[in-house]
Amino acid sequence: MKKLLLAVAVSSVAAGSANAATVYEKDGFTYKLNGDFQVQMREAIGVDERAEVEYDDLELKNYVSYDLGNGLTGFGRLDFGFKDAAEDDTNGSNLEEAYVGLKYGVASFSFGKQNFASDEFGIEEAYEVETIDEDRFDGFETDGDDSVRVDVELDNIYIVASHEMDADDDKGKGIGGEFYDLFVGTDIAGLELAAAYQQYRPVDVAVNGDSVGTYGVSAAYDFGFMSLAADYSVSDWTKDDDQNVSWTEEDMTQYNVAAVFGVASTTDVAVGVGNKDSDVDGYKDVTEWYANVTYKFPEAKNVRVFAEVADSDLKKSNKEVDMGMLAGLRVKF
Amino acid sequence: MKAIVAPIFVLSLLVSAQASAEVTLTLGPCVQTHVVNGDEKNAVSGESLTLANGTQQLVVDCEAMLGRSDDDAFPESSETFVLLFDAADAVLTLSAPRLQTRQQMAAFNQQKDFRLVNAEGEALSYQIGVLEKEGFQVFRDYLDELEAFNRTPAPAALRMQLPGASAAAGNVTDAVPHVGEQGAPDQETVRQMLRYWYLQADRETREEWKNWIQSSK
Repeated sequence: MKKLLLAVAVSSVAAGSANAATVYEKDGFTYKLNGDFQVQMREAIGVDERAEVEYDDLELKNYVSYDLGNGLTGFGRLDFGFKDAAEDDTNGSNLEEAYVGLKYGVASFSFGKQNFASDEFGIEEAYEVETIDEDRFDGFETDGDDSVRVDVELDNIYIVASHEMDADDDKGKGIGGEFYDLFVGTDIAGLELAAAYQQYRPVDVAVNGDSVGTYGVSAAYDFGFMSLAADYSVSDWTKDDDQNVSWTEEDMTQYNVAAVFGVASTTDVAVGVGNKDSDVDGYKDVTEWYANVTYKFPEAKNVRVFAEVADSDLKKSNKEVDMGMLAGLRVKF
Repeated sequence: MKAIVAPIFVLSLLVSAQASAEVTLTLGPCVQTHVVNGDEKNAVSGESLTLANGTQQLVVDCEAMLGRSDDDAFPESSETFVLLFDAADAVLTLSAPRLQTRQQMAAFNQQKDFRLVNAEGEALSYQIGVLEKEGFQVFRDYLDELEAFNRTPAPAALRMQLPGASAAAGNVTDAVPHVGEQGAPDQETVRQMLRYWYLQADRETREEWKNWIQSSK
């Protein structure tokens, strides 16, 4: 799940003479390569958890494009992730995104294995959230391998629509079926507003022919010394929580509030809280909070060290969970 | 008392005169330099450069994290630009528009809308061109590329020819030095030539030249 870009959290980067991203460019052909390597020492939120080395991101992202003339561009994307291979000590990589498309002016069309429109939604700023989803869309699916997607990027408004023809149950939650997603984001005098909607038609007949509707709204504002953001999302059926083993018709809501302070040109501090609740009687809501600090090396701000503490009021086996903490290093190129 | 005050006064005048005979250029967010007046110089956003008064030629680009989320944002460079402008005794800032999405980066590459302003916020005019390179982009030899760029008729090229030399090398006649009406060389041409040959000189020659200027005072 993605987050709205908080301006102080993502400042401009410094580098030497190397050209970022573009590896080769000739006669309208472009090849770009990006990478994101992030490794953490983490003691997860939970009961009697032990510290481990965790691999959050180990990605290589390949992008090729051809200028087809008359404003038309043909492109392809192939992203490999290696974190599961590193974590489980197995060989091979995981294909995270694989799609091709055409771009004309402000609009692009792509199809293949890619993120849904609703993946654009969300503002939380934690390195890890562990006891709640990042938002209600994340409680279902936000990517698929039978997806078509249209992006329209105007001066001040960003619109994405996607359709997943047949989602696999890759998270083992019994979630498979069709998804229709829509995301709209805009910037009004520095106030970033966004809204998303997802209609999910599960293969599972337990929802009695109904579809699962999820919507969310978010807002973010950069005050200069800090950025403040909040989101709220709700879904009308649930099958993704420890407290529900089968489909339940209920309004499951989640909100997140996050603030990022640029305490120095190299250092950002973020604090945030998220709460997940249901209108079903007896449901015990879960609140998780976090605080993290990120230091970007002034010589190369693509290299960052960070640390985070997080806690939750979730109970596991009738025991309150212990605070989690992590520290790590992230290198992007 | 006077004997002490007078040298201090003169010294302060000299210092202030020296301090104002230069240009301070601060690089705004995302702007970074690769070449400054013929020298390789990697200065990044937030840094200030001290330049001699006169014609300035910079090789710059903008590197920003592009993407709609922190997780999905990756560093990307703009086209590499050659900027040419005249400045004297000024405090300047060179900045680019806010670049956050690939769409904004594409528009910036197209419009090349840097802002060069002085301390009063007044915009200075400049010539700009793209320093293009085909093929592998990973490590570029900006000095070499700039030398080739300066041989083109591009408006941002620093063109120069010796007086009396043939102007056969394309559309460069407006840069050919000419002799003033009284037979004395035109001072603007002299300034341009001094700068040109300084940029052509290697480090050792420059040091010799500086020493010669010191000893010629």
